[in-house]
Order: sequence, then structure tokens, then C-alpha cells
Amino acid sequence: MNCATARRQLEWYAMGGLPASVEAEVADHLAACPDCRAICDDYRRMIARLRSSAEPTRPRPAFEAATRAAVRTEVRSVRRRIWIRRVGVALGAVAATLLLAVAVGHLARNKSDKPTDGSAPQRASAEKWQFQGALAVPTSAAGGVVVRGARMYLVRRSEAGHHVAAVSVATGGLIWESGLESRGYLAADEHRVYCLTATSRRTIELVALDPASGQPVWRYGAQASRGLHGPCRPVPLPRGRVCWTARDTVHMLDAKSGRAIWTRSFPGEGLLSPARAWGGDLYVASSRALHCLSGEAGEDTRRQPLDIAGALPSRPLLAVGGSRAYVACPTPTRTSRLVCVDLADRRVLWSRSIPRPLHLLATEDVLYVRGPEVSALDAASGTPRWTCLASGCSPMTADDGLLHLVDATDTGRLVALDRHTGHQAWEILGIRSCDAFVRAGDLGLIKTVDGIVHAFALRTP
Amino acid sequence: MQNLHETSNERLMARFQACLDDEAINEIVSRFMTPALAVARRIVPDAGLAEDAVQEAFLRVVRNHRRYDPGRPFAHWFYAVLRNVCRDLLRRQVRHVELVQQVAAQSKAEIEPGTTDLPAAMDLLHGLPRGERDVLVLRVTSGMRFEEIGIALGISNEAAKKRAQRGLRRLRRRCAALMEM
Repeated sequence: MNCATARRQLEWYAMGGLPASVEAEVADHLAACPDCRAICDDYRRMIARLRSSAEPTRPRPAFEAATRAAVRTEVRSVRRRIWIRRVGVALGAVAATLLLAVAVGHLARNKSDKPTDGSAPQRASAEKWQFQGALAVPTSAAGGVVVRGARMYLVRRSEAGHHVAAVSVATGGLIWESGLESRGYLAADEHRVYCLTATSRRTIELVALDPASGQPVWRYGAQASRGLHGPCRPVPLPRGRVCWTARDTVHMLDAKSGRAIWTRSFPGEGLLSPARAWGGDLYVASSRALHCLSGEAGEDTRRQPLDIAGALPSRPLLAVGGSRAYVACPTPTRTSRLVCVDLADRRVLWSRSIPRPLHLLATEDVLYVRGPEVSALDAASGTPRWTCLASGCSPMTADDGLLHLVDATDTGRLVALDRHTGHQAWEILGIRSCDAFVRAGDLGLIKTVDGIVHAFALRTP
Repeated sequence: MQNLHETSNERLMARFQACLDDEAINEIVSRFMTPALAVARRIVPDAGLAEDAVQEAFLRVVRNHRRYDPGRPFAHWFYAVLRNVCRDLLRRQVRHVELVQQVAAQSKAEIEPGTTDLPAAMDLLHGLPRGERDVLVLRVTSGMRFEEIGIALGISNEAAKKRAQRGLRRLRRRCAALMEM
């Protein structure tokens, strides 16, 4: 082999990939030719430098595990579909006819349960009453309306300040207005109405009001005032308890007395999400991990690392449903990493990048994500079932097989989507809101950006 | 039964088609996970998106397993699926122009600073034409065979080899020019 022939092969020789016979010939030539050897050495050095400065090519263990889990789940899902198809064929024509009859009956029954005829948008004439002067804070949970039994609680805005008020769901009439200046973030259970207030020391307190009179019953926060910023709405829990997350600390309080049952801090973890309860345990998420706390004593029984590269230390979103927890942590590229954790098996099921969401809503088998679009993700695999373009900031609520939200496009509209298909079931035009639609019996309540609560009949009169 | 590790990709996929065999699909995931991630990283600009693309590609293989023709090489089909997923993700990204710009800026920022001569090698690499750079990275840093690279990128084996050769020559010329400056 001469130099010209050898040099045509040198790059491949250095990278590897020549047939063995050619490689041996090149090696013989290099042993005898210092010029070609020098060129080959250049290539080898360059390749070594590229290898040492390259990104690692092995997949992250967490990603590999999540992918294998997602594939296993998908295989199970395909098996189920095939089984259902085979059973369907085997049943034969008679059984198929019976099924058809049952299906038609079922559809007819469902249709009658739906709030309105899907083909005709519900009209404003279905509006029952309005309540004016409610606090409206765009993209914040501060002004949210809460319904408990026959009463709606909201923060009323007037010249005297912002005060919690109770309103009759049936008539829209004012029942009481508390004299307490409030910052909102309302919640309610059978014992109390909860709200947050600002103190003269620029700290935040959780205050419980008597649902009968609106009088303050207890306050909590003075002893935990340091660093209480970025308030979360309190979360009422079963057995007369209320949980409040403030910055990096979770407080579990007795609903009747306001006594702290336990508090648990996570220093260095950044802002915590509001708590969610599942199976007697309490879950909170930071941008680093999902923490499982014993509901009784607040002990950290399990810390599930989320392993999100570059997660911002801002408050993550947390939703729990169907024995799964979903955590969405913002990342610097205007996206969020969405991680699904199986709470029973204690492992990450899947994770994916999504445009940064504003709200999550988890049901038994579907996770609804509100970002630039509304998406329904399969809970088991994280794959999208349907996507619907609907801009805006209102949280989603699920009821009667429908998903309710406010689409801010054009003049805005309150829309109900079929949860399984994403198809529109009904809409009310001219609604702009960053608050959640709330169902109260046959009434639907929505507070619009001008601070008016509208009560709509969910069946066309 | 034949050892799974010695079974061809095509036989594994045929076995999965026949009985949705967990072991067969698991072996396929093991074989293709690393090269698929390397390929996806060459196509989409963000490491997280590349992971999403690979995961979605495996899910599509499971979901659409009946569409695979066992008479054809499995790798061709798999990498075609992966390229489609990457393209879908990129199309979705175009709608978020700002995101793309931020990712590009971030990638640049990750490459530019450096205290040793190693990042300089990556700088030179990023100055190569895209086709040459992709093949070179997959060959040199991911250790994929030229045949595999050709299949993964949808080009011929010969084209992959030529691009790698041209890329390496160009790198050496640039290095030499920098040394003379």
C-alpha cells in the first residue's frame, strides 16, 4: 500500500470500521511511514478529545426506568384492547345486538343527565342571579369562590376593604359579612371558613371564621411568622383537620381549636406545593422531591426524588388522583417537567416535558393539564388522549363526565368539554374569568374578571 | 428457547407481534435505548425533549406493532418512527419560537465558556456542516456503526462514511489553521 492509498483510508482507520484485511494493510503502512503515522496520530488525538468533551451518551437511570415502566404499561393497555376486541367478535351477532341495545339505552340515559343539549349553546337567559363586588385577582387563588352546602363564601370588595362574605346559593342574597380584613385564599369545611389575613408585622395569618356568624374563632401564624411568603390556600382534611403550607413548612391544625397538631419543615427545598391527601397520608412536593408525610404525626415516611435537571426552585404544581401523584416543576426553558409517581408502588411511572402549565387536575385514569392548550393525558403512560386549544388562566373542574373551564379567546366563554373525547358539550359566551367554575346542585357559579358572580341554571329552563 | 441476547431484532419483534412478549420488547428497549437517545439528541435541541422523543418512539412501537413488516429490518422501521416523533416535537416547538431561541442560547452558553482545550474541540465540531457533525458525533462519541448511523439518519452507509471522513478531515484542517495563528 502506498501513501496515497493509505491516506484515503486513514480517517476510517482512526475511527474504526474498516474491513479487517484493509485495516491490516493500513497498519503495515503506518508502521513503515512516519508522515502517514503523524496524520493518523492527529486524527486519534482529535477523536480522543471529542470523546472526552462529549455529553454522556448513557441514558439517565431514572429516564431508563421510567421508559421501561411506560412501555410495560402500554403493553398491558394493548393487551386489554386486543382482549376486548376478541371478546366482542366471539359474542356474535345476537350478543352484539344486545350490547347495542344496552349501549343505546346507556347513551340515552347519559344524554338526559347532561346539563344541556350539546347542539344548542346555553343562553344568558338561563342566568338565575348575580352577586356584584367580589374580589377578582387574575391568575391568583386569592379571590377564589368556595361553595359549602347551601352557602357560597367569597371575598367582598368595598370602600371599607376586603371582607369575607357568605352568600345564599339559592338566591344570591348576602347572609353575613365579616368585619375582618382578608387577603382571600378561602377554604371551608363543616366546622370553619378559612381565610388568610395580613398582620401589621407584614406576616400572614390563617384565620378561621364561624360559618354561622362570620366571627373569627382562632388565628394561626404568629408563632410561625418568619418567612411566610407566597401564601397557599389552606386545605381542609377529613377528621376535623386543616393543612396549611407556608413557604417550606407544612402546618397541620385542629379545625375547631386552631391548635397545631404538628408542623414539618423542609429547609433548602424551596417553595412547597399545597398538600394533597391520599390513603391517610399527606403529600407535598418541592422542585426536588415528592414527600409523603404521615397524616397522624407528620413524619416524613418517604422522599421520592424527582431527578429533574435544572428545575427552578419555584412552587411546583401537585395533583393526586387514582393512586398516582403528578408533579409539574418549571424549568428555565418555559417548559415544565411533569413527573408521575405511583403512590402504591412508590416509583416514578413516567415523566415528560410540557409547555409550562397553570393548573393540573387528576382523576382516576386521566390527568388534565391547563397550559397554552388543555390536554388530557393518559394517567398510566402520560400520552395525550386529546388536546383542545383554549387560552386563559381559569382552573379546571370535573363533574358529570364534563370538564369545565373558561376559554379567554375573543370575548371569552365558559365551556364544558366531554372528558373522554374533548368535544364541546355546551358553552356560555361572553364569560371572562381566571376563577374556577363551581357546581352547586343544579346551579353553576362562575366569578368573572369584573368581580361579578354569575349563577347559571345547568338545565335549560 | 434461543437466548434473547442472541436473537435478531427482527425475530424479537416478530415474537412481540405474536404474543406481546414482555421479554422481547424489553430486550428491544435495551438494545435501542442508548443509540436512539444519541440520535434524538442530534435532531432535537433539548436533552429533555430528546428523552421524550425516545420514550414516545418506544410507545409507538408497542402501539403500532402490527404495522411492522417482519420481512424488513427492524432498525429501519424503528429509526423512521423515531425521526417522525422528533419532527413532530420540533413542529410543536416552532409554535413556541421563544422557547427555541432560549434553548439555542442555552446550548451556546453551555459550549462557549471553558477553561481547558476540551471545549475548543466541541467548538470546532459545532462549526462543521450539520450532516458531517451528526455522523461524526454518533460514530466517535456514541460508538455507532456507520451502517447503524445511516439507518438512523435515513442515509446510505456509504454517505455516512463519506460524511464522517469529510468531517474529520475538515476538523484536522481547522485545528492546523488555529495552531498556525
